[in-house]
Amino acid sequence: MERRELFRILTVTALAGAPADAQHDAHTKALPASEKAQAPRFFSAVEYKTLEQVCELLLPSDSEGPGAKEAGVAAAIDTILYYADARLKQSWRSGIAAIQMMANGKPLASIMDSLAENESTPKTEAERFFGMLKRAAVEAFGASTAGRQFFGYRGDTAIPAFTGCTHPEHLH
Amino acid sequence: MAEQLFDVCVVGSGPGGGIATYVLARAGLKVALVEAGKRLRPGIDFNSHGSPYEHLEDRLRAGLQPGTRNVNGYSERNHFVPVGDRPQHGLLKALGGRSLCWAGHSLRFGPLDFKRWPISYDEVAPYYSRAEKFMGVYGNRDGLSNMPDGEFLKGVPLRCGEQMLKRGVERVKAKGRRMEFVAQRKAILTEPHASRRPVCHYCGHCMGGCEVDSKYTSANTPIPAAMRTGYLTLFLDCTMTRILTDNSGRKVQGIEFVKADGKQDRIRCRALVLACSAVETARQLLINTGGEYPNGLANSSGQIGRNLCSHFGLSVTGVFPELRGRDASNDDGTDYYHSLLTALNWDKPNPRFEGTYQVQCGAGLHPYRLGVRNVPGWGSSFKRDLRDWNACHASMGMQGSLLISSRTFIDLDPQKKDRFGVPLPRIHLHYGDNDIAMAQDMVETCEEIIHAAGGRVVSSPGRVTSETLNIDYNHWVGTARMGTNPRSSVVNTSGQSHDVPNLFLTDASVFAAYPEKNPTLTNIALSWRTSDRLVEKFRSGEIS
Repeated sequence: MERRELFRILTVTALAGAPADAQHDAHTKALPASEKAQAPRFFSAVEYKTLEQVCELLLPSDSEGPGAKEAGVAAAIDTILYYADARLKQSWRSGIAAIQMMANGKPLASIMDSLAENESTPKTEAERFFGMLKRAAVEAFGASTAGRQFFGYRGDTAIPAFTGCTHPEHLH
Repeated sequence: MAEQLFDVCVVGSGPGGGIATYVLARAGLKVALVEAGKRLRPGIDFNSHGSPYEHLEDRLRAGLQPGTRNVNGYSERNHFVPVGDRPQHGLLKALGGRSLCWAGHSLRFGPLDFKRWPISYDEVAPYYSRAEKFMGVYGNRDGLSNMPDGEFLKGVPLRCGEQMLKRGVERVKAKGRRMEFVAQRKAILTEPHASRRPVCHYCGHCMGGCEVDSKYTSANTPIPAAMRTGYLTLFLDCTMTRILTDNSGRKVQGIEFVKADGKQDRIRCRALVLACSAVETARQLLINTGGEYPNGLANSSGQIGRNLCSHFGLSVTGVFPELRGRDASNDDGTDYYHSLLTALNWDKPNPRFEGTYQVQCGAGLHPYRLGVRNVPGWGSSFKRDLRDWNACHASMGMQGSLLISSRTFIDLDPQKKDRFGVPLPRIHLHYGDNDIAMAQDMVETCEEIIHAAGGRVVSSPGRVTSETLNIDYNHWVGTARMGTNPRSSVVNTSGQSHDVPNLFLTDASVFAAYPEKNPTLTNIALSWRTSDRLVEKFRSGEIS
């Protein structure tokens, strides 16, 4: 069964940027243009850049496959927030601001360990926001063509029979 | 225009209403089926095969959450008032009702489960068989004492993660615990069937709405069959607003309803069948009052809305390093839960709590609905773990029965009304110590099974509180329970109102007691039985 393009609707405002390196290029060639960058509608340009960077640090494009940028993770979050209620919008604005404040001009990569340090019991606003951002990023990544490609998923197709586990060693 | 007269008016086209419509029309009775929603067309009104964000902008604009454009998008919102421990209620106004989005789990209640009913398993068993043959239910013959085997199509095998859980169960059983781990039984076609619905293609979107009709729904099997008899008239987009009775409230004469264009209309009937769901049926009976029945129609017992029960639960997830590197490219199957941990506390009650639970188990990688999301860290190692943990996981979802409580019930909200001016139902839910003790046992049992299988628990509530429990919003039952005593029950053993002899209930509101098993197959079997009794009453002249 043919899969439709993810984020098709986002093509309306897509601004397909040139990939930064050859590996990135190799991944994006296989992806629909709709999963490439677009102009933000909710976030300011500065906020969006922060969001994009954190998402890419979280889910990087690497030797094992495409990452957040190819999956259009930041674009999906921006679109959802564009239609969200004021409270949710404010929580994301505050969260991005908290991360920017924590970074204080340093590269965002330098604060990722700190952000992730207390994941199970977040203590600061930035840590709490990181958890929320991570959940949203994982959701969008999994739903994307790039995510499916990374996961090696070949389902959602018509198959004549379901074979299930064929490993007797898994039972004993 | 003269009001149309029907032998029977069936209100609600979900699992109970659909089968009642079929049985009654097939018997030659002139049937009106009144459904508040429209017919949802696969591929047009819903597209469960589409990716979650395919219609993102449309969904967001319509005020919906991001997600696949499936039948759940048509579920009602703000149609009840929650009170207490976060009750939820699924209501899908569409031809087929919530049979459109059920998982298909078809488990017979067993002889022990019927001990607290006024009818026995043996009385219902022939109707289970009829229902299974008619619906097309797959499963294995497991030989379990209190979840009897049925009329099965060939079963669907377990996935690797579920096989690991089975291994864990066998090891825990070896230590003396009583439990069984079996493959699920579902109303999904795995081989050609008399209904001529197509055999499943294992895309895994069963609960989002089966686009090819391999899964049984009221809309794809009993209602089309009833239409072919020539005795069925469909009233779609028609919302019942009042039940018409004589002055005594002892005889139903028809119903009043509002059509899609906002105009009011009436139909007359010799008998009325309500199949609106346990919550909605109770609401409909409570809002219809009169001088002789001030507490609601058919409610001289005062039991309507009481004895409310559902399943509640939580989940525990494990990963199995042994499964790392396996081919996880297509684990879709027949939706997530392919297996079941059962036979817990059937014949030997747990000293810490009353009642039973089962655990629905699933596994497999699906990027749209990842089973494991709480993977720690960031960067390449996080991304790799996210993939590997999901390919190697299995999850165990508890389904326990609430203990009946005077604090858990349905009544009418004194202020809030729907758009037709009809009071909304309030669902009062309060977990008790028994529920928490049962859930705690489930958590400990599941963790033990995962460890015994060689796995690692990656998600567990640990210590259970009422805050960690979730109610099953599709499994409400018991608000108009069946019994032999009119002072303590609403309907008799034929599903017929004690107070109003031409009123019958064919949804799960009539359940007299609730085991851990999923309700729909029993709902359909009982609806078939009640409908047969209604046909007999027409033939004998008892109803005319």
